[in-house]
Amino acid sequence: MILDEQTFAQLSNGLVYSAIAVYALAMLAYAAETAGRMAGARVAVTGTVVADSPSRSRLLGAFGTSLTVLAFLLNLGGVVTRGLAAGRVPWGNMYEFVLVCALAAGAAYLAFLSRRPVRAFGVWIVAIVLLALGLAVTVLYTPAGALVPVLDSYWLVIHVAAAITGGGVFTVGAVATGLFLVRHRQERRGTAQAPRGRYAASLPTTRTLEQVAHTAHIFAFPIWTFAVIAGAIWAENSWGRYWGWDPKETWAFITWVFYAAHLHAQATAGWRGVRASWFALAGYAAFLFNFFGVNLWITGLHSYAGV
Amino acid sequence: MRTAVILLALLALAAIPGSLFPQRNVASDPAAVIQYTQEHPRLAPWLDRLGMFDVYASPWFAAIYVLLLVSMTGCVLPRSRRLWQSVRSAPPPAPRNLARLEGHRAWETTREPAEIIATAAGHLRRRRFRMVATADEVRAERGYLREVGNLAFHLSLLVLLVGIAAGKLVGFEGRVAVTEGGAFANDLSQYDAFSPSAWTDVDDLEPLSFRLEEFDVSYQTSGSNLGQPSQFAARLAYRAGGGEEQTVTVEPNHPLDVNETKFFLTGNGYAPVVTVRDGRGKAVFTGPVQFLPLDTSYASDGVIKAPDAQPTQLAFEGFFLPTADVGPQGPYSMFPDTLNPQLFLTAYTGDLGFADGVPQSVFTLDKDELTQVRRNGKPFSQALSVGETMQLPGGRGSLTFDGVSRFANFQIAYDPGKEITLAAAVVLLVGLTASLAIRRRRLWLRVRPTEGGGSLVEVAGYSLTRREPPPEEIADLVAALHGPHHSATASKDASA
Amino acid sequence: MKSRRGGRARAAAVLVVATIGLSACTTDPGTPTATDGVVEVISAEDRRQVEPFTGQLLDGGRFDSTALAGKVVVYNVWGSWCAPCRTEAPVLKRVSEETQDLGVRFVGINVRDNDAAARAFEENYGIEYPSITTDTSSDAVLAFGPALPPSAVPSTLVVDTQGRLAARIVGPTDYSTLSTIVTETAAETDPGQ
Repeated sequence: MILDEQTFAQLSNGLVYSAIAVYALAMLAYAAETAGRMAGARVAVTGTVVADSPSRSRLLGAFGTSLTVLAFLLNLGGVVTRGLAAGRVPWGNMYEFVLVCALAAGAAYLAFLSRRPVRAFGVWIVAIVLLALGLAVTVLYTPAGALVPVLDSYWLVIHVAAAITGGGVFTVGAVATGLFLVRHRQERRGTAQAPRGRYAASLPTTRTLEQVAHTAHIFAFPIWTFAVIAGAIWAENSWGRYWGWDPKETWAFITWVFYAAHLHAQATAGWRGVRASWFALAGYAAFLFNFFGVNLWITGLHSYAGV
Repeated sequence: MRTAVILLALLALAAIPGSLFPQRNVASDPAAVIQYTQEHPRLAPWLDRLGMFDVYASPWFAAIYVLLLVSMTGCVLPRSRRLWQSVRSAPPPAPRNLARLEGHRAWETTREPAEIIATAAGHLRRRRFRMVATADEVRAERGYLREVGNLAFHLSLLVLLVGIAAGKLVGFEGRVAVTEGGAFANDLSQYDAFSPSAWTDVDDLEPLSFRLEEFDVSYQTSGSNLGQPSQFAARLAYRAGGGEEQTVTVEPNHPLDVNETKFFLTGNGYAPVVTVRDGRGKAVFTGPVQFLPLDTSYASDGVIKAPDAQPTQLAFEGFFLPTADVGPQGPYSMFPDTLNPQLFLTAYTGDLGFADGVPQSVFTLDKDELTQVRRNGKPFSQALSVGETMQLPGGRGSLTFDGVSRFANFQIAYDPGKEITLAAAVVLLVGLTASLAIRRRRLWLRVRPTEGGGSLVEVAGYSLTRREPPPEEIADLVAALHGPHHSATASKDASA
Repeated sequence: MKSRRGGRARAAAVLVVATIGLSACTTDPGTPTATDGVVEVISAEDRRQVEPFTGQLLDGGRFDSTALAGKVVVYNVWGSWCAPCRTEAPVLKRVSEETQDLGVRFVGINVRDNDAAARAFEENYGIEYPSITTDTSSDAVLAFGPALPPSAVPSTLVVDTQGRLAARIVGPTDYSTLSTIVTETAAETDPGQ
């Protein structure tokens, strides 16, 4: 049987829907694991014995991770077949961009998971990925097709790939930063009684969380810088100017500046830790706004990216 | 550093309004500010006073980035000096209590202290540590490139900004729309719009001319992206500096570049070809007229002026539909290609207003002194297919729709000094990556004689950055000295 | 870009741009048409050669600038769409007729126009001197680059008997300015020696 473009497009859609289903199951498993860990945290605090819940929760966590790997592979398959269907790199419009960015976030999470005890992130990362994929198939869906001429450039491959990779790793950084803030609050108050306190107590230590966030940020920041520079060079190639304060450019700049402020704050006495974290979260918010807000609400030169 | 953090946060916040309010100098839609002012007559003047329509050129935005650059320079220069000093000075002596440092390992051995020092020194030197060995201590440090990278990043950021600014001072931007078969000579008189910079020498433009031989467009004719353009290509025959004529195809992302004057293909539209005859039957206009596209199906509008028609001047106004169809709301264009091109025109007679010498747009009519041509009490209008002619009532003239040409919009930019900017960008990226990836750290080894006649060896590391030093570095050093593989108990005993 | 020239020309150019910029802003980003003339008379020793060029004429003939060697030639860059060109058309017609006997020749350079409209314009204003057609005017426009380019529509360029640019008027000219410049250039017995 010869696979034609139409078949690939259908296959891609099927794989993406399967990824969503499996990610949903992974989220359930991770949520159950989290609940178990919270019970475990109560054991640690109150001394009440709850039989075998830690080992069951560990099992659920491993199950969740296996499902996440499977969902990630399905997502990957969906992206590859999409590329085969369109006969080009699969990040030529908003729908494809979200698919690949979800893939990058999943990849970044799994990469961290292989080195660090960050399974507690799983439920959040999977939730974000699920939300992104859900949005992609419902609101942003565009049938596979050729690129509009202005996007037909090898700079598309370079610039967008860098932006996506940066975005995926920033996602892990943002989750780590958010959990760091939750955990930090709990450590400072020293309480594990309220449900939120119990959740916080079940998280990795602030030191681990901060290190993971830091590693993610210093990995993603140069990539994002490269994406911005590559975008400027492409803009020069395509419109004759490096920088024109188009909304997309502006928000990429805002994202960059917030993360730059974060890195400087991390090296400033008195700002390290909690205060610096807010800059990182502001940077991630700017990234998300650039991703969704600018494409959906503000018209600019990047509007052809297609919604 | 605190200043930098605050200024960076301010810069990020200050950039936001520029993406929310329409901007005067942003290319996407020059009319946006005017439209916004009409829609918000009360608010707009206040926003304007605050510089909200020109954020990136406003004094307060400039104040933030100038302060940032000043603080950056003020920070980078002393740091460069300090780096230079620390590179030239030896790593500092080991602190008294090594056990409090990272990765501390300690063990007893019967080997000679001198032998241990020599082995450790050789090991660390091979790993490119800067190193000093005394009789009982080895002091080593590496990762200076982190600070080098950091400084290179900040300095190249300055160079990058200066390079862009300098290019902007002598460069220019312009626009021109050229119809198929039409020519352009790179002289100020031929531009539709021209924005020089402070030092642009407008009498010294690149000697260059071209003719638009053909403009190719293809559209998707099936599937869900029906009507989406799949290719734009402008075939130009150009001559640069009095040389031979050459042919080049300009496409989006593939500009024509002649000594850094670049021609970018940024848009296109239709130019219906018409012949206008006046009341005497004499042709007073023959050729293409550019119509401005209104939507993605290239429904376009435009005007045709014949100021030298006699006995009365003639003007036509209307729209062009490349694939005309009639829907419930009237005629519209179904598809962007010319499958059924039609021209819908109304006519005017009278005075076009040229006589007072005031330049006018080729896309609008000054109707003050014009009278619309009427028939049976209603404005006279007609839909024309190619080859058809509209005869004005009363023998005042006629217009024939001869055919359809296309025009291409070119954005022209001269922006010298790219090499500096590009080099700065490369250094910036390399420097940034180095400054974030490289860990500057120190390693110490100390040997003390024990009461039993052997030696107590202690090894520890210290990170000068926020990340721990690579743990394998200490492990490797211990292994090279044949120390114990796992030090947990040994180190505890030794440091107690 | 090409070789540098003196600061004087550049200063004048800035002024021209300011004028054009203003008029372009008030109307429409249509075509740069100058509303006020900026006059530059170049002293004999500073003049630069205009490159030879050829073109097709509106009346069907062939134009070759070298055929006019030894004569003072006034080139006028114009278009029928250009309103200021209409105000200066009677001036050009009058000066061309008055200086005919001094050996001065006038040549129009039609730009961004169509031939039918250009012919109707000439007929309307009774212009007798020849004009190069829009389609073949690129070389003519660029020929003045080594000296001073036209820079706007309309522009009037006066070339001396040695084939060098003697004066440039960017924007519509008035009778006394053009008449004085042309007469004086024609009266130069031994320019630049």
